[in-house]
Amino acid sequence: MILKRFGLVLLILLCVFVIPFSQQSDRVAGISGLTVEDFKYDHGASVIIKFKLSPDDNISLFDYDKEKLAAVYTEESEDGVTVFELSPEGKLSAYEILQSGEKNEVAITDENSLLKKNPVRYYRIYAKIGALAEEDIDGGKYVNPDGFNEIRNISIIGLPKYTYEQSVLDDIALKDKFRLPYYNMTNKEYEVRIKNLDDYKELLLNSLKEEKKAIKAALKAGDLGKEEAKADLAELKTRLKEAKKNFTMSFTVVVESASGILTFGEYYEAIHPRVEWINLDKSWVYLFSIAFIIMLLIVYKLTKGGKEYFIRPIAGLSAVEEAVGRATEMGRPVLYISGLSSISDIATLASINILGQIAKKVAIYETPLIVPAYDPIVFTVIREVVREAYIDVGKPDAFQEENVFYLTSAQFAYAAGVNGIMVREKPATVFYMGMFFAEALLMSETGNQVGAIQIAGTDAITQVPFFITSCDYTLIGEELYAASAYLSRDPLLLSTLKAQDYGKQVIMLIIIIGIILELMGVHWFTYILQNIPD
Amino acid sequence: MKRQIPLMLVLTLGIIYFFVPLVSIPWVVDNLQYEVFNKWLKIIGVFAVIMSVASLWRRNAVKIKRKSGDYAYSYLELIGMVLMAALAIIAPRWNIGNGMVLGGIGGNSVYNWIFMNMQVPMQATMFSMLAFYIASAAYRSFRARNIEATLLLITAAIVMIGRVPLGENIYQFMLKLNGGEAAAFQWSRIFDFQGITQFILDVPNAATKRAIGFGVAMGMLATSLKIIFGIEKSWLGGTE
Amino acid sequence: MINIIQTTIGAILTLSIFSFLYKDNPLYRIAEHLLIGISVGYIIGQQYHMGFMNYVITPIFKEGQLIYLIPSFIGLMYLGFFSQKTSWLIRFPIAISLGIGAGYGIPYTFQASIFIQLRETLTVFSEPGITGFGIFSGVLFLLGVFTAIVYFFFSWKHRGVVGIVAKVGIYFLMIGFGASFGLTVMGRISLLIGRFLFLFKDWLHIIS
Repeated sequence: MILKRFGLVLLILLCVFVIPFSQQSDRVAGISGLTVEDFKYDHGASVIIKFKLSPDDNISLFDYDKEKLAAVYTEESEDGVTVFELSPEGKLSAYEILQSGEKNEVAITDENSLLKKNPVRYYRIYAKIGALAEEDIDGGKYVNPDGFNEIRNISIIGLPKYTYEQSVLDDIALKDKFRLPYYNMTNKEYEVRIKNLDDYKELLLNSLKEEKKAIKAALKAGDLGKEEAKADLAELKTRLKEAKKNFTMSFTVVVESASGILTFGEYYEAIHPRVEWINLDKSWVYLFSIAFIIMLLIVYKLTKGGKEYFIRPIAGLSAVEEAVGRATEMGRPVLYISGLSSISDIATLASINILGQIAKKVAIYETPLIVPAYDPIVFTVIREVVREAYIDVGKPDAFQEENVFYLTSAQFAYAAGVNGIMVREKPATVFYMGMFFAEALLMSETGNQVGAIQIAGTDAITQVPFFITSCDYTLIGEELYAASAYLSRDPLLLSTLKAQDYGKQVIMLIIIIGIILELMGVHWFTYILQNIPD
Repeated sequence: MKRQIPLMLVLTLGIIYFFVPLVSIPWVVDNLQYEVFNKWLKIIGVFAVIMSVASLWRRNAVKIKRKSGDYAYSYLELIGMVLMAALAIIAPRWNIGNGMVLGGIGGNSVYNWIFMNMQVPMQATMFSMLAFYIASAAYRSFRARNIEATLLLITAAIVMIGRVPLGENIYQFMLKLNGGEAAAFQWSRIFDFQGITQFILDVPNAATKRAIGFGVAMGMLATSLKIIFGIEKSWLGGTE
Repeated sequence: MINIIQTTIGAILTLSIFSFLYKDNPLYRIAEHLLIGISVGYIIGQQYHMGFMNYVITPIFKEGQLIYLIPSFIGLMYLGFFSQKTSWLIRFPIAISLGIGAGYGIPYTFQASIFIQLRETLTVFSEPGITGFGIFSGVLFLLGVFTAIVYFFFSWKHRGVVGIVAKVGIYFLMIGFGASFGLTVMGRISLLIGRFLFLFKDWLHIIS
């Protein structure tokens, strides 16, 4: 009722006030406030929202959190404006719109561009940065006669050098520039690492081949003398030979200070890249990962040996029993939504584990359990899990196969289907567990309308507020992963929660130590973290 | 064997792939990362679509056979699916005028026309209905009258006002009442919705996102490890 | 002409979906089932051309890369789903995806969700020329992070000091969620305006 009243009021308000004045928002309709988390992109089927973007538009395609909203460029162009289609995932998008200052720039992140064709590989290169004179750097402090003070950072930017259309290359190259913080600048020979060298090499070789073609064409057309062409080709040959063996990069010294950024000393050098066998910048990540694994296994072993840990109750999970019981009393089904993600998403696995526990409770009462699946693979697993739960409690005949089914893998079609199921089957209890996107509120509000008890659990931070407002209980983030252990009451599974707590305590400790060191002016601790690539 | 081999597979692959990002030997990068993620896993996944077709078909066929309730609608689902699939796969690429092609999935195919003119508007409408749902959700938490819901709603209201021109207008009006920028006591600051919004986003919002992020990471790590080491095996589905 | 047909179809379907706001009705049901059917058919078409032809048929039969017979065989194990006796076969492809995903995900999660986040947290006071308000914000930020983490501790009783800290944590969480809620509202309303513009402008031409 609330929905209808509010919906109608809003509808009238919109018709009377907003629409006649909404000419301005026509262009922006559907953009502002959308984030990547709103969409579920699978199998190429997604919501397509068209909007126009002209060069003097000032539309921010980032929301406040600077999350990127990708757009797929389409061929259409109406009256000099470009039509984009929104696609939810950056990796699938051809173009990405960046906001820089007041104008929108379109940067190329084409999946089919050369950069993505080759696998990412790291190279270690050694280069002497000649442009940086020794007297410029004094123990990490840059001394500048022009009063360029309050140095924040001195770094070297290395860019691959090619003979190719520069405007395109700048875009690509800037993405892979590397920076050396000044801590590292005590040696004169610098060791730097570079990604995607193969791509640059390929670009370089391609451009040289293009040049060769151009020379031959010019010779044919008579624009170039025979002797000249021969000399040019010979020169090209040596360059090609050189390019295959070595690689030239340009190095620029960048000084960042409170008053601005100063670059100087462009300097080219042929480098001899060597492929690295171990990603050394990941060593800290591995150290901590292995420490966490060992800790988890120790806690697990201790529990196996009989040690017990206290685990506090979680309201949403204590209510599961009651919620299932209510459905039985009312003679209505239980609906379980396992999230809109694939089996490789850990949240989906957590959801499947929870479903196993809930299905057992439901099976005992022989209450119907409806599970519409979003992903075909998840569907097959869910079917087995539910069937098994019924067998487990000794009621294999109560399992109704037609109640566990695949609905569709299109985000809003799925929401439409679930809404239909809710208003027709009138479930007494609805569970939402797993990964959710913008469709979450569509389903949970309808569930609320039909008077179901709703328990949600998700690690999608953007959807938690909507579940909180429309569900009776909401498991936030980590609680989703803890839920199956809670429901199973298996001390071995519960022991991993203790390990997670230890992990969080270590994190808190690192934050405290790190901030104290940072305030004391000791930067190596932060520097270790800064060296980890994004 | 039906259980042990999959469990062993998960353990072995889990351990191997744990170390794959650390190694950058060309063979490993080219094969274990590039080939496997870009080709092998995609090929394995392609076959799953067969199950989706089978399930949808079976569910609707059962309904039609039993003539249960609203079985007439089941025809619609089947027709929609079969039509789209047939257009994409079987239909010949005949030119049917208006620059359109009967078969295939190209930009000028009937398949794409149905997608753009039926599926897309319907999905966009579903999405846009969120505006109504958000209003009713807000109304409900307004009535809830507990401190958590109130905090949520007040913050939401401030952020909302801070994001529309109205917020700035209110602030400018209050600033005038206050006597402009020069006034000694800037009480009008409490109406600076944009500034407050920015503060809320930068401080409590970012802080909670980070805290939840740490927790979620811990949960994901523990769940991944439980799966690799076979502590959690409900994904196997059965007990035999 | 084709333009009018196409916007009319779109408009009728739009109205049918909107009619759910009033109550469940035959129009909505028609749209809903049609949408599900079409969307599944769309996925079949996409998977057939972009997946099956691109990754299986073309490489194996046209380019002779027989190595891809192995993943195809693994993928075919999903067909075990059709009989109860062979349903255990589907565990193999799932085990492979899971093992690879879970193993690969561990260092990635550490890197992206813990290390990078830690890095951002440690430098809250490192802004050059930080003001008093900046310090206050930084302290409040850290307070938010810590209290919210404490709220998520599973093995600490929410009583006494921990109880109070966890309570502050939940208040922080609610303010954070409120901000997300508020940010989303305008986006949703502009989506709705987009749909209305489609109806009134593109279809009925009431507004120009």
